[in-house]
Amino acid sequence: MKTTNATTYRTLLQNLTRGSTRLNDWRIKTATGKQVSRPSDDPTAIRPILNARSQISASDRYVRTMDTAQDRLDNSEAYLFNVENVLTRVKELVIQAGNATYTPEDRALLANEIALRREELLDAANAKVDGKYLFAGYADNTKPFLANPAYPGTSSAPVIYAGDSRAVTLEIGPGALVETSIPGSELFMGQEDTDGDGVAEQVGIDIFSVLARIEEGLRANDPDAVNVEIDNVEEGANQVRKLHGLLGAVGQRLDTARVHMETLNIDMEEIRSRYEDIDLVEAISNMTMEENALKAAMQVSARVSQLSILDYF
Amino acid sequence: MGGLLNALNSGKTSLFTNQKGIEVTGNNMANVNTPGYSRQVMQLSDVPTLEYGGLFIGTGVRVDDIVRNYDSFVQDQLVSKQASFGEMDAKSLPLTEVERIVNVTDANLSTAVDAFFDSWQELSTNPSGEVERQIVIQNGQTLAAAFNSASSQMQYAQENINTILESKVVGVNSALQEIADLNDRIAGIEATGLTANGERDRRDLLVQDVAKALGASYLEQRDGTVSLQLPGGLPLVQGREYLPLETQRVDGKIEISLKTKASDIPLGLRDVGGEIKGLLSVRDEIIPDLLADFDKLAYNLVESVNAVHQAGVDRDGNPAGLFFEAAPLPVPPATFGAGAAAVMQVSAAVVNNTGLVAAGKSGLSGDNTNALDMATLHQAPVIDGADSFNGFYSKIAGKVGITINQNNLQRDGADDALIQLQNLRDSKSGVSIEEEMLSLVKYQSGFEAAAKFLTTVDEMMDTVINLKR
Repeated sequence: MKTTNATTYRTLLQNLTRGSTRLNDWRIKTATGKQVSRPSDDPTAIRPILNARSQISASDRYVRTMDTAQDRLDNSEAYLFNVENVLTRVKELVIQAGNATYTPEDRALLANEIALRREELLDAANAKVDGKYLFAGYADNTKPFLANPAYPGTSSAPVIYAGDSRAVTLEIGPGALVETSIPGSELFMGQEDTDGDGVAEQVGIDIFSVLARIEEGLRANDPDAVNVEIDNVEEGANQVRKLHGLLGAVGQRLDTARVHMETLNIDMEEIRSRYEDIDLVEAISNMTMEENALKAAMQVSARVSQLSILDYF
Repeated sequence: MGGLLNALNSGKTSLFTNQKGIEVTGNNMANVNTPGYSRQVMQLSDVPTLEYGGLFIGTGVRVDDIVRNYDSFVQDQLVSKQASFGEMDAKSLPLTEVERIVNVTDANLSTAVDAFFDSWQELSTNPSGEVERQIVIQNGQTLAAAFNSASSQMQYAQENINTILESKVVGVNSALQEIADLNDRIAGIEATGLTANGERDRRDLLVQDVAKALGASYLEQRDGTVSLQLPGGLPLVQGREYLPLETQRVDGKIEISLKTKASDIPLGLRDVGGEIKGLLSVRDEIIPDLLADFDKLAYNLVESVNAVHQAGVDRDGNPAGLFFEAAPLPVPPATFGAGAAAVMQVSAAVVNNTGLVAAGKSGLSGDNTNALDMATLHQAPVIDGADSFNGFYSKIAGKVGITINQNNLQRDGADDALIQLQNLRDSKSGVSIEEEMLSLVKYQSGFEAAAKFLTTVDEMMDTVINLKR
């Protein structure tokens, strides 16, 4: 087969073009650190890469949501401690009031303290964080606990609840919802929508009513009427503790979920990296190889173009 | 004397023939870089012999013809390979553009989807937040813009193809005309018994060009003309006649037709090959297919987001409206569906009033239930009950990647084959400087020998003439 000048140059050109294209590919891959930057680089890697990226951004968000949830829990818990302390103190006062040596004046003094504690309780119940009422359910911009103007006339409830009876839930994982608040109706009023009809039923203790009745009993110097409320105070404290415990459990769940989510994030990052990122050692060695091949091709070109029969005539 | 005079004559033919050989060699050398040029060689024979006293002695040399070193098999192969290379090569440019649109870098349509649902997730942690609502709207707008731009860039790619097609047709027409003209000249020259070497070389090259552009095949006729026809069988060139292609804009697309005396025959994907087929298939098959996928994605996203949104209420507790809507168009496809990606936008009312974002279902400020519902759409198998939005996008991108990979592979293969064929053609028809240099030496020494011969004969004649002195 005869080799002509055109054959030689055509072949050289093809070798140089292909060589520099391959070298350029490796240069781009090494410089970007990615082996997949276009769909055609590896069509099968696209789904895992995009999926992993999506999961990573979602788990970042879940971790941030957990932070928010944790903040809410911490805030609520601080106020719940406060409420529990108030109830403990109230119980002490009630026991004190049963002392036979107490005079009506002593009981009036106790009644004054109960009134103060009730104010404290009301303040805690209307606690606000970041401009939002903590214990108002969904109605977090509505002041949830208001003095009942009809009390002590027509109504037996000294405080009425203006909030919402639902707990705010946050999503901390795919489909994993946690309740990060306790509706005030359940916490302070013992009301819960047990049958799901949207109307809350009385299932527990209305702590404000208990305190109001104790204060009234003390002012009326009626130790027996006060005494019967001890159980109610205890039960009210239990109601608070139970819900407090529930928040604590949510907090623990957040801790485990956070560890889980962070592990998932690392796993996903690994998957993404495996499909998308380049093995730098391999890339650089490939690049060097292509560089050498191209150098060789260039040298051959130089040598071939030096060779001419014209030099021998 | 008769013998010497004959010798003189035979020396003369030798001198002329070797000189002719040098001319042919020179012409070959001159065309060493001429594309499509076939090396020419002299065909020699000795002049019929005369009888001298019972012996036959030749009386010189004669040039019968100057012919091309030529292999019609290789030419056939070249023509058909040019057609397949043309098809793959023409596809690669618009496909690169498509690939840029369906990209998988850090900022692509799927990351816009991620960001959109992430902002709903964020809104769920603070459902009454003004900033969070703004972010939901902004990310919704970014997402809609991503769809709009994907759609318009695809259309832009189609328009680019239209422009390329128009200029290709101009080139093809002038090539067809030249082939018809060359047919005429070649038939004319060769009817006289000569060979039209240069014209044939030029025509071979043009046939390759037309094959590359249109996938046309050719057939040589007895009179030396070639007929060209399209892969679908329609004739392009017949003897001295050719049928030009015509372009016409129909519904914003360049349609190509074959202009015959009777009527214009529209050319579809099946009728053509080569570059024009490649371009048409990207414009009429690959891009519309992708656009339909984008529309499907946009449509499903819009419908499901709207459905969840409308299940909620706005900040004032009123039933929520649409989150996404179709952009007002001069000629409205008012509903979504075909063209959904192009017309998708965040409802103007929502953009103007963050309060209309439906975070909850009760209108209470802390109600995040609807935002939570919206966030779950992110990973839900919404499309055909099988794919999430991002899953479907990765299918689209994967499809594009595979198409491009396949095309690149086929193009490189066709390119390799083409280069091999060109080398093969060169080995037969190409000009090699070494070969021509040696021919030059050959003819030069032939010429010198002829001259020496003539001098010798001349001296002999002198001797004979001087005999009488």
